[in-house]
Amino acid sequence: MHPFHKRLLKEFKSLNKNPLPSIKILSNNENLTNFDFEIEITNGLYDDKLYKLVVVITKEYPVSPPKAKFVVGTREAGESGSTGTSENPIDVSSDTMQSSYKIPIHPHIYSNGHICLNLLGDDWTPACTIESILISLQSMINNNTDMTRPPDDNRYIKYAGEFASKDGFVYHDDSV
Amino acid sequence: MKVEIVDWQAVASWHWDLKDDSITDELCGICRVAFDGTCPNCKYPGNECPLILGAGCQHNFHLHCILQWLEQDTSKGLCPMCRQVFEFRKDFNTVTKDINSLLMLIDGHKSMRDREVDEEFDSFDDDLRMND
Amino acid sequence: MISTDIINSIFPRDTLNDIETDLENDLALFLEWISFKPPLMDPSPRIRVAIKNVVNINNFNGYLHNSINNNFPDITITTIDETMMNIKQVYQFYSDIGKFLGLDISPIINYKFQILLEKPQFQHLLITYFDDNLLQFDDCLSPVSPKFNPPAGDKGLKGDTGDTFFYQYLPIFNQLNVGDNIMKIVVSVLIKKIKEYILNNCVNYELFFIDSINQWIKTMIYPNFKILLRSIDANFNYLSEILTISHNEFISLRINQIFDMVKAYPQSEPGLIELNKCLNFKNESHNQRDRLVSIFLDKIDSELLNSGINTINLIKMYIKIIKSFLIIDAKGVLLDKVIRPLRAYLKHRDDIIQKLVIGLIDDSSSNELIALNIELSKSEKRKLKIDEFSDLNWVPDPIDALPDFKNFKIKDIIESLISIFDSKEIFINEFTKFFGNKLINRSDNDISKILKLINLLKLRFGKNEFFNLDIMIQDILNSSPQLTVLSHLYWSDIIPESTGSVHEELNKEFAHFNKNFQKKSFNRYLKMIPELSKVTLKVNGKNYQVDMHHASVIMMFKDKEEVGLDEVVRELNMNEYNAGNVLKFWVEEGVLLKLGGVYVTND
Repeated sequence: MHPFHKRLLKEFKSLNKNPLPSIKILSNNENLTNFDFEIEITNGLYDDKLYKLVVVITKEYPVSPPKAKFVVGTREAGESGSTGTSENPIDVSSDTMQSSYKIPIHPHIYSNGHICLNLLGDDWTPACTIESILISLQSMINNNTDMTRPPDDNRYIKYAGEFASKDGFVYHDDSV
Repeated sequence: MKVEIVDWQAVASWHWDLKDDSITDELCGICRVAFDGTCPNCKYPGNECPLILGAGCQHNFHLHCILQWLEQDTSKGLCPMCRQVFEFRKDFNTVTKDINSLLMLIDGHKSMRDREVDEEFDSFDDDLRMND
Repeated sequence: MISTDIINSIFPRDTLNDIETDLENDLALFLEWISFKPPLMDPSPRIRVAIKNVVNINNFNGYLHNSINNNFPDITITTIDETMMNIKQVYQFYSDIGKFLGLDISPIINYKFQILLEKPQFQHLLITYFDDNLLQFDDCLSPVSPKFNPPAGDKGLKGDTGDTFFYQYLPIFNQLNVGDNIMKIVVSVLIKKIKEYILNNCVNYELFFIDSINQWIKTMIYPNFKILLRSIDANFNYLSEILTISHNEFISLRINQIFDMVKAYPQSEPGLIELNKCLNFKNESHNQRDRLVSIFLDKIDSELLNSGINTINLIKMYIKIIKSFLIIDAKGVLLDKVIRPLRAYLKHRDDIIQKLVIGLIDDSSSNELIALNIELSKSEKRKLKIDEFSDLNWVPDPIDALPDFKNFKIKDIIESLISIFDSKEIFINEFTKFFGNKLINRSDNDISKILKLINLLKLRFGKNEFFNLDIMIQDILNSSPQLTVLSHLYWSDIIPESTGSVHEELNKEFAHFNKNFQKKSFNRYLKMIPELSKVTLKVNGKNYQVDMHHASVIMMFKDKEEVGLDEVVRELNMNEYNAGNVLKFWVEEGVLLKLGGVYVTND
């Protein structure tokens, strides 16, 4: 069990009780150290609306940030999750026919799903939460106007590990 | 009428004396447990799991929690909640090994920050000189 | 059933009467001679001639067969003796005919006798005969050979029964070649006798019976049986089969009683032990085990799993089921099958956790579930749970074990009860609440008892599961009789809502405690919990130990002679009901007098 289990439990309960609009928990493990989320994007520039995010809580959390990356995969229609409230029930008719997840195109997201976000690196503090990461990521993509991959994408993915490391890249232009 | 107190079997609860009546949050921002409770490292609350009260920014933490945070270089000695330089009130705690570790960490971070500023100035001077 | 007779009556076949021949006279004489009027007349010379002529008729045997068939005498079934004598007579008659004709007449007539034998009346006769006499053959010397021919006229054997059977009936049966049929009847009588014996003698499952059954079989049943059947089949040697039959009957009886036996545990231990013995006999099949399980499950369903039975009795029964079925099947496979419905049912009783917790903890004689407490105290002596993979004595589970059978979880009563629930948390919470109350209201030797109990519980539930309780205990250990200091976050179930404030005087006194505390606990302070605190006051020379509200109220009268109810309500933030009750107490103690809405000191 994670040393800060109580905190993880609080965060998890909060995500369940007050779900974020357009962000679903797809699955999680018993220890609350591994999560899969589905993020819905309203940005018209994107063909796909739904993206899958893997979040891993390391031993050093919350002193160190969680690790997060986008992943590809097949999508099961009508997967159980925690979106939908009584005022905004899940609209089955608009449940898209999207059958798979791809990596979103963004200047700060490499084609292997690794993310370049300050909150996931130097700017992380224990005051942040999993929720704040999710919201930042969602906003980052929703507000994007530049549909390109990072300039060093090819080189980066050649040497990248499983997750982005803190010193792995130079932060790109933050005006995006 | 004569009413005298002969004996007590009192039951009381203890609380940390935070010296500030307007505490808005009573949770440690790092472990999200109340101050009167244990941090994740400790078995029993109280003297062995003391609090650290922020001096400048007034954010409070469990000693062990803030130690863990400040041991990280990336913390840069900043308060996790508000990112100001973190200092703590020395009048709140007795001196212990942990408190000394905390002091050392904070001083360490301060030196790092000072060095960065010096380096920035040096490179600024270099730039100026280069343009001469 | 369609018999030849019936067919003959619809499609009659030709008899000797029907054929046309110029031997009419001879035929007539012959037919007259063979018509049944026992005993057979010695044929006269004229008849002999007739016989000689008649046997040469084409297909004589066939016609003879039909003639005899059609004219076969009706043998009425009366008493066994009479009937057997009739049979003998008839047989003799036709046998003699056969002799004179030089034919073996038995294929024709044995068939008729077999039909007779199969008639229910005759079967009944035989059954009754053997039933009455089976235990008496022992008295006579046993002739073993199936072809035993009694010496004519010599009746030098004792015992009428054996006499009759061996010298009169048996030869007839042998001639008729109906040995197998007789054997079947004897066996059915045997089984009947065994059943009767068991049902009449072995019902009381508080006693042991297997030995006496074996004894009875060996001394009473088997010798007779052997004598009888050896005379029919010399190879007869079925003692172990007969013992098996009797054990099966015994098992059946016990299986039907299983629910009552479990209820009557431990008095029913002998019955359970014997049931185990029988189920493990060499020839035992799994059918009995399956039957046992299904009968028990039916009974559980109809008699136990309904709302009329209170939870404590259900738990008691649970324990009895474990203990009983482990006697019946030490591996626990049967137990695993029968206990599942009760487990599912118990899970949904509201008060199950509470009852279990109290059962485990309470060691006073008023604990109906004291068995649980006793089990708990054995925890220290329990062997460490052996991992299946490192157990050198491991053998595979029996073939009828359910797929998710877990050997080690079944046999331990407490483990079994705990595992009904998905998480230990509910237990831990209940324990914590229970001990919390005990700790607050403790007396001196309570603490060591409580610590002992908690250690036992930790052995069962896990050392690290009781975080809250550990902190609570530490609080108490750090407290004195005069002052108990709590880490309030961990006593939230115990600390009640505030029902009023405390009088200044008392607070002032309490401040001393606070000062002392602050000296040794830098930067911590105390807040009194009035609802849990008590104080001993001397009022008008008499000592009273009361809670803070009673103390606060009476303190208001220290410097004032008269105080109104509404003043009490206002000053001490109490509601009228509580304030009224507290004042009533002091009035009843004679300390105050009530004058309408105002109270005055009574000194």
